[in-house]
Amino acid sequence: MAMTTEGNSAQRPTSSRFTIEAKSPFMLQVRAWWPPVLWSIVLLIIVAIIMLAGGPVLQKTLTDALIKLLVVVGLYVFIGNSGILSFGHIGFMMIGAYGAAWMTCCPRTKKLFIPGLPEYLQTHQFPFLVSVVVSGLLAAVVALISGSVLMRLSGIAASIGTFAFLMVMYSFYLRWDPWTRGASTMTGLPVETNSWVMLPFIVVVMFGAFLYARSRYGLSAKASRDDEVASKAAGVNVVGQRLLSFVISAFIVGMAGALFGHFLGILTVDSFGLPLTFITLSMLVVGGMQSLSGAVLGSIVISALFEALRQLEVGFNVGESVIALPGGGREVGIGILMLIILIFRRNGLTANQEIYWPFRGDAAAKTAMSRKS
Amino acid sequence: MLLKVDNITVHYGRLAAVRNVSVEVNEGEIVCIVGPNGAGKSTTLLTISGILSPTEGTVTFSDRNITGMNPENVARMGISQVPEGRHVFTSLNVEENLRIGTRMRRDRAEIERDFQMVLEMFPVLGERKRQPAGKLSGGEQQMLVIGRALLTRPRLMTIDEPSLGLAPKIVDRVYEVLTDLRNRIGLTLLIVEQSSERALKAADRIHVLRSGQIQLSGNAADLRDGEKVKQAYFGFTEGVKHEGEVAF
Repeated sequence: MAMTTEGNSAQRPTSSRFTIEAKSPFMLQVRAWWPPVLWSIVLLIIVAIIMLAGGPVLQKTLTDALIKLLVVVGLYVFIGNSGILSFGHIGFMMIGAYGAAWMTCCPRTKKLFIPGLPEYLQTHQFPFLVSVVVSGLLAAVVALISGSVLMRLSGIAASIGTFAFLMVMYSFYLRWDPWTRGASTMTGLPVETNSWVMLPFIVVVMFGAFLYARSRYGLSAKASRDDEVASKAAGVNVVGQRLLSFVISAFIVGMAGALFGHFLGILTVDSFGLPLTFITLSMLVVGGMQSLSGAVLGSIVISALFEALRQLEVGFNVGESVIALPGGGREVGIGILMLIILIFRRNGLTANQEIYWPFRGDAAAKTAMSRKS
Repeated sequence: MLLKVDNITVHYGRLAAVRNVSVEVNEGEIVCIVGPNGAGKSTTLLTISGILSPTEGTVTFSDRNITGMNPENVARMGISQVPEGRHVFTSLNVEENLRIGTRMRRDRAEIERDFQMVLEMFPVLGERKRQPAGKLSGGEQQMLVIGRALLTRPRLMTIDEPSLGLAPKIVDRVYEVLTDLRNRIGLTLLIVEQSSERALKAADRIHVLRSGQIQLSGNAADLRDGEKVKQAYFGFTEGVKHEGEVAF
């Protein structure tokens, strides 16, 4: 059997000269969970280097990038598994962010700025972790309600539906003065989020997303993505499976929103609009929509490029003169990268595949993987 | 009687694709519906599996009326459908495709046994367990879809044109497998097919469908010479009645 499966190399091109024999149960688990393990290690290294050696500006940029990464992983859970492009998830991020504000701003600020809050929320203040998780749950509940309508649609109609959802939420929060201060800035969220705080959230979410994708629920959602008719004939409740992935991903994105609120300490409805929608979507497209590795890699690449182009926009001193990109160079740069990806690698940098254990020497890893699914 | 399709009429918009069609399938039987393009064969199957609803008539499965039930629930009742054109889940690998078939079941030990049975029946699926199903050949995909349907432990399996676009040798193999399934585990099969020759060989009973109506029904053994089937299929004779066993 091991001989005949060698034809597999098209799917997993990385075969290494080094083979690490995984004998212990622990190593078998590491192999089975390799994509999230790999990315946890990569992110740990990046965070460690920048937090220990980078300047404060770079550290802030990193945290911002990690929040986007969490959003992109959330997007992947829905888009990657259900195959429906969503333009609405930044709405869940906004719901999460404002949920965090309702829970953690000090009572005096809340009384002054958002008098519409119910008495209980008005007078109580909740710890950071509670705020993040409950905000995620709030977004999940909204997803459950809106999704039970939206998920009945398929394909492009569903995508347009999610876009409408974003617009509705955006306009609603913009005018909901007693709860959100409307177009004014909401202040007073405790600043808790930095890169070290982001890391455990991202790691847990990556493992969760990977587990979901391999579970019977994830498989069912992917089956409905590949072939709706056949999946129904196999007994898959297509709407239900889509809804499940929608709710899970909204939970993740809602948490990312809360973390975002605790990162800036201030919130405006304005920041949850189309620019953020498109930058996070482009991260997913560049990386590869149908794999966790794609979501993470795409976020890292685009964030790094974005930061590099920003530096170029600021410019370098060469002797007496300053060489700089014209303003807007970042957006143009991302646009060009998107085009290149869409032309030459339509399935993204990872070609929609996960990055598997590269040191394979025996079939043990495969059996470990197959037991998982 | 396991399945009783009673006098159904199905419309696409204003067009009646199937008129007053009745089909019965007994436990352990292989029944074939044959007919030319556009005869309404697939429409009949889609109606049984709940994807279409009849405007008239009823579908009864093991004494329960399943007319207009949604496809997932029909599948849960034990009717497993193999749709036309080899609907594999292209981005999932072979094993994951098969796992989808078991998702409605809870009996873990039995699932493992059936899994081994399917792999034994289709060794090629075992060899390509980790390959994306989209990369399999046509015949292999047909095997995969049949395997997936089997893993739902169906009481009735409906198959739409298993021979479509396959080399004759592969078609023989598919039919071999289907008859083998009936003999080994008593699977009940309702097969839709264009090629009447193949159907006559495999089936216990056949129905000939043309222009949305049943032209001829009978035991395959009685019709084996093929003349009557040919007439009904191509419509050489006029005034064929659909209720009668053989009306000419």
